[in-house]
Parts: sequence; structure tokens; C-alpha cells
Amino acid sequence: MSTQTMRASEVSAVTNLISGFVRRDELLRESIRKNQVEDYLQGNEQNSGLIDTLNGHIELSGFEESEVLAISVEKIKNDEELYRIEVVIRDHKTNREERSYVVVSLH
Amino acid sequence: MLLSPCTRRRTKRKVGSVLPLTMIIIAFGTLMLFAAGSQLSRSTNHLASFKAIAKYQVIASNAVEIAAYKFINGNNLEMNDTWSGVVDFKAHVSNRGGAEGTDWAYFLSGVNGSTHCRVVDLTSLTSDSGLGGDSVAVEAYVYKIGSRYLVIASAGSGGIKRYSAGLVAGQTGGEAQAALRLESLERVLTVMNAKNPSGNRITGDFIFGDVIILDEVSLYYTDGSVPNTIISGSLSAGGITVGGSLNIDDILNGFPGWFNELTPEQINELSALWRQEYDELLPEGTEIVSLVLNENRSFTQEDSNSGVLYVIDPPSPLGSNQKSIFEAAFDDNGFEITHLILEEQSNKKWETVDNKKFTFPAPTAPNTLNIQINGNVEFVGKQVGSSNNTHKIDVINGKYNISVLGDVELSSNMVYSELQTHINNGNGNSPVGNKTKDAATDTINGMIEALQGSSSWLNLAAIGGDIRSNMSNSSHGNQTISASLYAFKENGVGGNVLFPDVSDIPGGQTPQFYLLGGVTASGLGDTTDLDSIVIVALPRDSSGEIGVTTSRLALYGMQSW
Repeated sequence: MSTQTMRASEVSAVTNLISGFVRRDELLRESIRKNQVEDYLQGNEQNSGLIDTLNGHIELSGFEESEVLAISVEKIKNDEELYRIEVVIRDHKTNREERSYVVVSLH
Repeated sequence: MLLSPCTRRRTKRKVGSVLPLTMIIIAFGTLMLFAAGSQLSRSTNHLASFKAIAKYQVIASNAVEIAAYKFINGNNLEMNDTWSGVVDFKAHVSNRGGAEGTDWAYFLSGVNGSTHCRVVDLTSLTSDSGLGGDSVAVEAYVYKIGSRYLVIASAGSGGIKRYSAGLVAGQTGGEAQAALRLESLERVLTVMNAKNPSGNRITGDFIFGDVIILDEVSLYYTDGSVPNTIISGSLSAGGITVGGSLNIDDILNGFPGWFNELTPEQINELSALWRQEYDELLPEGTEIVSLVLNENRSFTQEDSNSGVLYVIDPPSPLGSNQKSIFEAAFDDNGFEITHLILEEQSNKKWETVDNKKFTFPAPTAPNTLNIQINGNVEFVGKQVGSSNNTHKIDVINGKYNISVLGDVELSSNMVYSELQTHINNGNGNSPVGNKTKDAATDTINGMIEALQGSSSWLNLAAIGGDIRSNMSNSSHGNQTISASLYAFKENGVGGNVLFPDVSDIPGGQTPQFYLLGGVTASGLGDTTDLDSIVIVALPRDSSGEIGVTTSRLALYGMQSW
């Protein structure tokens, strides 16, 4: 049980870390504005993508057992510049996946 | 084998102790199982609530993001609601240990359950997974605290609730002059209303921006109004008298930071600071070029962009039966100033016997054309909006800093070139003038948006004279001016922005003075005949371009608990 509690708290910590980063990521907002989200998430020859960047942060924070598997961006409503960003995080120790939803707006 | 009686007795005793021992073991085992189960349940609950708290914090933060977006883009800053739950929010954040809790308690000290706020309707989005997909109760409210807005959101279910808050403020990089700065104001500012259902007979006032009055100011509210129904920004004054549906306690307790009482020191110093601020619009060491307007002359683009101050004097001396006046006009091409000499005829009528004109091309950004005119000036309008010549328009294209040592008469509409379609041009095209407050507020945001990055600006000052609005009956008593107006008293003369008697006008409308810029003056004189005053402060950045400081809000920082 205590192992499970520890895993749950670690996954929550990773989720908070990633959600906070995504919420404040102005480059992500800029990529949405410019319709270049996929490039920004996956990266290209010149730059690593956001998913790799986040996994680097997770590793540096000491949470090696967790990994960002995927990020997707979707507009919530057609007439409003509000976007939902879904982040899928896998805990390799328990083989479970957590989903976190961050809403950002473009002003 | 036969057991001796003694042995049998001992065996019987052994058999008799098994039951209690078994019972004890069972009881102990049960107790241990209960304890382990209880601990297990506790851990499970902890695990569940731990995950729930993290989830609700993210949802509350999403709600703040959405609420801030809707608030900023809603173009309506009015606070007409209350939220009793703010008391729980205050307790939640103020009970944090250390400086954080103390700081929040201080920041929220003026907010309570009866403080006016704005409910942000999130119902159309609660089914979204970003807000918990309808399984989470989400609320969001906006409070005005000082010149900023605090967006508070809560998310929770099953007895667990978490909060998030974000600060919304004007974007940095610009500075907004107050909409109205006066030493005193006789007029009682009232809520803007339409006298008839079609909405074209407007009474009341709306000041979009901050107001500073060094004396006591009077406001009158009708039912359903809040302080910023009349003044959208904050009010700083020597005192305040409130009538109608609100009283001073409602304002002080319900709208913290909206009214600031000026100290005697501020009252003594502010008008001198306004004058100093105006003088500093002209860079120190600016070269002065003196001119006498006694010839026709077309200046070059280089002249307009040179940054010098042209000081224009009338020719002298005049004959005993002569008088003179300057007439000025703007258009897309630039600025022209004409000097007229009028002579009294035997029939006692005045006739123009001489006129000479200087023409300046419009300065190109970022240059400012600085002109000082030593004499009274009438702005007559060069462009005619309609065929019957009643809606004269001065189109301002470029930056001008014009000071008049004397009186200024405004006999036209003045408009930045980007806003020509917004004013009353006599062709039925007047989305601003004589409109209801709601319509006017929508249009104001559109106008400010249209002016983003505009290089047009007019600072117009009367020094030792008054600025007189000469709104005519033939334009239905509507006058729209785009400028920062300054009127400064010198040797006890002038310093006011004055309005004519326009009480009886045709066209089924009501006289309204609509200013896009701001007023700094001693007072507005007698405004009894003016049914409506609308003044909109325009923000501008350090280079003088119209910026976005107060009109364009943005979400800064967010914290969740």
C-alpha cells in the first residue's frame, strides 16, 4: 500500500510539474498561433520537441520512472481562443497512465 | 496406560485454559485485522484525496484561465454580483503559514461577502475535460482590487474544494493619462441613460478611465448602478458626495480602491505637476523658430519633421478699426494656420481685408510638429462631412503638439484619421455620438483597437485662455474631439474648457461632448445645457504612440491552493 501511495504521489508531482510548465509555455502558445503545434511538440532537425524537453525535466527532477508519452492540443470552442492541452504521462513502475488537461488562452 | 488421579486433574486444568487462550488470540487477531483494515482504508482515502486535490487544483487553474479570457474579451468591466463564498476563500488562503498568508490577508482585506464582483459563466464549458467533465463543481468570480482584477476560481466535489487565483491587469509598456483632471467640477455626474426607446436622446456621463478632481465631486446613481457605471477607472478627489441608489458606505465597503481621497498635500501639488508634465512634452533644449504670419508659405516635409518649436506671431500693428484672429485646420495632408485681419465697416459689420496662410505637411512618425500660436485660434475644420456644410471635420494625421497663448475655439469635429467613420459626419454615420452607454462602451473598445500603433496624436493647450466647444445646432449638438486637451490659467485668466448654450437643438437628439483623449483644466464651467459628456482616456507608450495599457488587459501569474 505504501508503495502505491508513493507511486501515486510521484505521479501527481510529475503531473503538477508538467502542467505548470505547459501552462506557462509561451512558445507553445506561439506555435498554436502560427499553426505549428506539431513541429513544436515533436521537434525537428534543429530543435528538440516539447515532449523530449519535458521528459528531460522529469529526469532531472529525479522521477526517472515517469515519462510523457503524448501531448495533444485541441481548440475547445470554435469562436473562442481557448485550447485544451492533454498530456499523457506513464508511470513505468505501475504501468499506469495519467492524463492531465491544461487549458490555455490566446489573448 | 492408566493415569493417576493427580495426573488426570492436571490434564483437566490444561484443557480448561485452551478456550480462554483461544479467545484471547482470536480477539487479538480481530483487533489487529481491524487496525490493519482501518489503516488500509485511511491510506486509500488519503491516496484518493491526494489525487483529487491535485486534480482540482489543475481544474481551478484552468477555470481561472478561461474566466480571465472571457472577462478580458467580454468588454464589460462592471461588477454587479456578490459571492458569499469569498469568505471561505479568504480563510483558505489567509491561513497559510508565513508571509504568504499574511500577504494574501492584506491584499484581500477590503473584500467581503457583500463586495461587488462579476460572476463568470462557465456553464457552456463545464462538460469539457479541462473543467472536470461535469463531475466537478466549478465557479469563477472577478473582483476589482485597486486598478487590478483578481480572478478567483474554485473546483471540487465530495467535500473537497480547491482554489486558484490569477491577477488581471493592463499590459505594461504604456501609460494612460487620466481621462479627466480638474481642480473642481460643478457638474453632478450622472448615469448615462436614453430618454426614449430609440436611444438617441442621451443624458448622463461616462468617463472611460481614471478621474482626478482636486475638490469635492458629486455623483448621482440610479438603481442597479455601481460606481464604475459613471467612472470606469478609479476616482481620486478631495471629497465625494453620492446621491441616488448608492451611498458613500456602499462605495467604500463594496468597491475597495475605487475612490481615493486626496491628501491636502496632493491637492496643493497636483495642478502644478500637471502643468510641469505638459511643459515636459516639449523636449528640453528644443530649438525655437520665430515666425510672423504675414505671408503665404508652404513648409517642407523636412520642416515638419525637424522637431523645432515654431512660434507664430500675428503681424502688427493693426489699425484702430481692425481685429485679427487665427484660423487653424487639419487634414490628412497636414496642418494649416491662417491669419485673418478684419476691419469694421461703416455698416458696423466686420469684413476680412487680409489673410495669409502657413501650410505644414503632416509629420511622419516618430516626429512631432510643435507649434505655439500667440493669439486666439479657431479650429474651423477643413473637410466637410456632408453637403450642407454642417459637419466640418479636422482629420488629424501625425503627431502634433499645439499650444495657444489665448483662447481656443473648437468649431469642428476633430478625429484621428483611423476613426473618420466613427464620428458624426452628417451622413448618418455616427456609431459613437448620442448612443447608449452599452453601445458606446462596445464602440470605445473598437476605437481603441483601431488606434493600436497609430502615429496620430494631438496635444492641444490653451495657456492663459479657455478652450470653448462651439458645437452647433446644425450638427445636432454632437461634437467629437480626438485630442488631449489642456487649459492652464495664467495671471488669473483662462484655464477652463467651456460649453455653449445648446439646449434647443433640432434633430431629436441631445447635446453631447465626446472626447477621445483626456482633459486637464481648472474646470468645465457651466455645463447645465450639455446633456451628456463622454470622455475616453487613450493610453500611449513612451514614444507617444497609442498603446494598450488600460484598455488591453492580460492575465499575469496564477496560484493554486
